Amino acid sequence: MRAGLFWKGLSGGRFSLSATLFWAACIVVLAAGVHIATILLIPRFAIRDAGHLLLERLKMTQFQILPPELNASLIDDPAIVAAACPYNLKEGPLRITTRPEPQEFLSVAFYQNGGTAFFAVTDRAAAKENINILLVTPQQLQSIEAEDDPDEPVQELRLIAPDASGFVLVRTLVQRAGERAEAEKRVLAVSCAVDTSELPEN
Amino acid sequence: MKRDDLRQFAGFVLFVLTSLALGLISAEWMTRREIDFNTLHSGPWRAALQAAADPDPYTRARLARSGGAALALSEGLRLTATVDDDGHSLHAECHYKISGQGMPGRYWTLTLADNSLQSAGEAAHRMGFTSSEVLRDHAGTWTIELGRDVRAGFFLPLTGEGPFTLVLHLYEPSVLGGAAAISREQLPHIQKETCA
Repeated sequence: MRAGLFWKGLSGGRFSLSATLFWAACIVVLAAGVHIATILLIPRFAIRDAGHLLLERLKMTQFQILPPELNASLIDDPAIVAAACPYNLKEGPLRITTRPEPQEFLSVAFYQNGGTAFFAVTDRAAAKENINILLVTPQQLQSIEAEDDPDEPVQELRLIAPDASGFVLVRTLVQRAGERAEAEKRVLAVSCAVDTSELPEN
Repeated sequence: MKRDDLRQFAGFVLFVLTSLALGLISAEWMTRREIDFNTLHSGPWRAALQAAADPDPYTRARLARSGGAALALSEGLRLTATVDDDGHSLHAECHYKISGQGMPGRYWTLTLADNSLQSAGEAAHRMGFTSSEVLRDHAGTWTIELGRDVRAGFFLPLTGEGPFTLVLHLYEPSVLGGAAAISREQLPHIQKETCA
């Protein structure tokens, strides 16, 4: 009787090796379950993750240069100037547009609040010299595609976000000391705005 | 309640509490920032494999706890070194020569992350170089020196005490597959010269 062994192991009594081993195995199994559940739940319940740290300091839906302490924890490279745009797609789809300068590194990366990137594009990879991305939820994509004119090619890259909220990071490199002001201008030239124009009116 | 029942109940509570504690403590330990888990080694250089397109649950948990934002694979790679080529830990009392040739990326930056000083806060003196700044000799080799005594050429002053970390960022890597696709020869050498 397994259950009997379990209770016998718990209640002490006379020492029995099999009961002790069984008791230890139960601890290992339950501890492993707790361990796995904790690891999986940390990203969902973290309150000091990148997304929350940004929201404490920055406004929603506009690019702002990261303050030094956030630059240190998020970027960890003093030669990089970065701007962040926290978003919430409940307000509508998010449009990111910019025209990168040639020969200047610029990357646009889309993040979940936990700090993992789900999409990134650099100035070199950008098609036709322009970056034009519409970030949507699966539902928003459905209603936008229903409104699409089949004869007109889609101009933008439509990206489905894994969660409704997150943030976009734009990074550029200060190639030589003294070029920081130009770099800040470059990242702030990227626009981040709610765009409901493609959604059907209701 | 019989005395035996009470003992069984106490044993059960002990069992649950022990399991909970073990599970939570092990999860906490595995998601600490400094734990050397899931890291790639190449000579003195290490790359935390957090730049994967779909990171594993441990990496996700560690990132969320650290408050950081990992580079996407196509954007760049971050490598760190806490030891020199011979495996001795980097020390602020020593003088080092770092040299490299063509690197597998469009740009790179080499930064000093002093363990006692926060690198980004110290704007007064130089903490790093970018690939656009260093000059290469006829063979295409660049050299950066690190130490307490100022030298001519490309030099980073070591001001802190004790061990320090070098951080190498490769932006727009020319290799697919992240840090695992970079060979040792493509990464800079770190040689210790003298120690005070």
